Amino acid sequence: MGSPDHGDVADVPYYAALTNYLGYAILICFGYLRDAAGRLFRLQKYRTRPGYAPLLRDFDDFYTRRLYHRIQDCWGRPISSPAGAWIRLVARRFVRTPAGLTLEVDVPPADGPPPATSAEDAAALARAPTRRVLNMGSYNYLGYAEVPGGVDGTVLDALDTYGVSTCAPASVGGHMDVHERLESTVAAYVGKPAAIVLGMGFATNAQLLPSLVGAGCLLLSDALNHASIIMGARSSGASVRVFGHNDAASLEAVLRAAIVDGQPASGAPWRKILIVVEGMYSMEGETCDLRAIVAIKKRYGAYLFLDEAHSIGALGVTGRGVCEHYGVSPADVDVMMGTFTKSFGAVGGYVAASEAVVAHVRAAASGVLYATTMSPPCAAHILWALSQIAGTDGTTVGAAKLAALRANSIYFRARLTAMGVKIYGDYDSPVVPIMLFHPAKIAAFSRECLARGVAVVVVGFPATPLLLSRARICLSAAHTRADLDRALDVIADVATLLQIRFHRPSFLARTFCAARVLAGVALGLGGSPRRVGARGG
Amino acid sequence: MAAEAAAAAATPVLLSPPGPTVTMRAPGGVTGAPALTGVTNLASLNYQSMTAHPAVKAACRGTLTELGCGSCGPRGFYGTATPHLLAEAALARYAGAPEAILYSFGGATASSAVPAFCKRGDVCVADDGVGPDLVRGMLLSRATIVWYPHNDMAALGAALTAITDGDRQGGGGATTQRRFIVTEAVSSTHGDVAPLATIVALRRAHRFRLILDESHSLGVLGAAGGGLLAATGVANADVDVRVADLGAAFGTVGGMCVGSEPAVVDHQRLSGAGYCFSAAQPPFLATAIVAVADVLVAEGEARTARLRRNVAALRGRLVGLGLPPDWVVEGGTDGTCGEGLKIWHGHDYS
Repeated sequence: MGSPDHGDVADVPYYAALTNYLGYAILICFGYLRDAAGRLFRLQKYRTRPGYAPLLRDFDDFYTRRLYHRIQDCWGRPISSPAGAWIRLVARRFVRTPAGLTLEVDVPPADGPPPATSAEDAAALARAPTRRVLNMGSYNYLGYAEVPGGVDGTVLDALDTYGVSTCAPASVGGHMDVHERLESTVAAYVGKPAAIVLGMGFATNAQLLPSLVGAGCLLLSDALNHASIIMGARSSGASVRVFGHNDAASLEAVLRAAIVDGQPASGAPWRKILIVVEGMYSMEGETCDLRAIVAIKKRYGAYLFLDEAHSIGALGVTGRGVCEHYGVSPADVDVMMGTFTKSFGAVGGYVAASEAVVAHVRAAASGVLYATTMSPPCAAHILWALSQIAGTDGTTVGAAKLAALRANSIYFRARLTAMGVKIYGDYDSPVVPIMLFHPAKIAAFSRECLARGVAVVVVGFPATPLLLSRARICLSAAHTRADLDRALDVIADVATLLQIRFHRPSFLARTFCAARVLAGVALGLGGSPRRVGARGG
Repeated sequence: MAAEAAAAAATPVLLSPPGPTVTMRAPGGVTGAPALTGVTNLASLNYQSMTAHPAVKAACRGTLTELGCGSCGPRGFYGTATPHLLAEAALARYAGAPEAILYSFGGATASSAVPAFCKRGDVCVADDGVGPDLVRGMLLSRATIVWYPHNDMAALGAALTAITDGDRQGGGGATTQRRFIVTEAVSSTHGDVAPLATIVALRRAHRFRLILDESHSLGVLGAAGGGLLAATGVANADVDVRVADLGAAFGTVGGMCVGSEPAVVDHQRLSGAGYCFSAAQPPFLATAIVAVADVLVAEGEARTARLRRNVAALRGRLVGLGLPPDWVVEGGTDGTCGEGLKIWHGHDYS
């Protein structure tokens, strides 16, 4: 079931919290000092056109300029290969421009004028040095990012038969028979009567949710839901209440209070109550408490919307997601949403529900009425991948991939736990957050791993709460046991260097804790202090 | 309910690329009925017939074979492949701007770009004919929206004056409140072209910034399809934020934004919701952008001239037909600009 550990601020060891705040305080002080000096001595950079308000608000821009820019080499790393288990990273270098510190591709300087055509651009880019590294950061759960020959023949056929794009929304010629086939295949796969697909996963939430709820409705959203769900909820006009992350008790409390109070102005009963949760939370690596939430929804007559962006094709024996994982019938989930970006190696999203709901979405959702439909070659790729995963192609390739992903996840997590680093999430989840906490360690972890040939993803504020910076490892069926061992060796090395083995506190941390205890006893404060790394397993 | 189900069943199903003529399934749901071929296509936004152009398809085939289909991650997390960098460079050059940012979906571009700059307390003076993504972007930004009748410059001037008058009366808002004029170069609902020179003059006089949506003008207006700015000679510095859905003339799936200064593009890399929180565009769709830009630059005036001739021919025939009084043909009457036209039948838009 759900893990005891998730992004709880109370979970942070005292030593880590203190040094964390100190780190941010130093960075912010230095940032303000530099801004002040800049305003005094180089006014040009800060001046806006006279008579206009500055385009960017002070604080938005401060964080970007003073905190993010210093470590921006940890993100946006370009690759010149498929996003498979091993990738070729293109080198970049820091460049000081009038706008500040930026990164550009490290193209060796050439004689002659700068590139003026796209062919020259491509030639210049091809001259930049590249490096082959182990990829632990892409959402390549089943390894469809990289297949022999690039893509299956049916994808190239679709390119010839249908072109690059449909250039139209579904109701005016953007709906092709390949989309029709994809929709019926997806519906059959997840176990719902009907489905509709869109060209972007983000838009599937942001632009379809408003067609399901509106004014007079209540939307109950998990505290750690994705930005696309928040955007869809805000656009819909429904009342939004947030319940504690993955906490069924909190959901029930919020739901009961909302039903008793009724709509805000009138006290009238809600027209509709929709609970929105994710199948797998990618920053935490844990699955939702689906059984408990379904029980609550049935008890109070609410509807359930399940976002399976990360869990479809990754969880469950046949990859049918978190419903299969927990043995919950798809009929108990009213609207099932998912994306094709992660496990299927393509792009886009789907919504699967009853015929009536899907017909309504087709008629009313702005993302369907006005936006270009999915590119036909992408649809063909998803159909091919789905036939393998579901086993309808008659082979065991899909089943083998799913088994490999699960085995890799369990092995990797077990080794990390033994190493003593702090990780969150279910024991078999392919997404593994490794806690770092300190702002300086965000950049250090990323850079040190890259120096040792492993590409990782690190996340900090504002994508995570201020104290809870982490590295996030995404496992893949394409990783071999040797790849995982190599990554674990590198992580062990870096963990020692950065002192992030919070379950095996360092001498300094233990000394600090002992000093705290002594001080507390001496001052008569009593009580048992939290030991560093005491909570969680 | 039944109406929705019937509408869903009546959705046309295409069996070929959305070119000038298409093959589609015979309507009526009779199984085994032969497909309809040679159906004239007046519905798709494939203005330059790029989506099945041999050079574009060849380039896409190359990228599919080399880099696979999906990008498997957001732009910040190893989802940036070399075609994305090349597409951004090509778009910046094509649109005549210092830098460009590429979004993976045209229908999420405006709704990500506008809230990145417009916040609660700011004001947007918007043309009431703008498309749903711009409307969504302005609503999400929580800024105050002031609507003016479509392309009515007198009303726009009055709206701007009303806001700046408030300053003189002691608001002092000009240096703390961001103010934007939001409009489309070619209207997605009315098909006519915005009087950009007038709008630019007004924005300068009242110190507003300009957000312009070039979804239906990029690749269509101006020599080589450089857009409305190229067609009218307005400088890039006068249009602060330009967004475009590349699913029209560019024949791909995606969107782009360029700005008058590098900060406009830079800021969206962390603040554009549809950029940071969404997977990157499949690399082959980015390659399509470069291929299309190359074709449009190479064939320049010839392609856009052919498009203009077709538009003028269709307009002429429709108007000459003597349509019933409740059918109104809208769209630019100016021979150099009119790209599209919409036909209103009574109250329904069909």
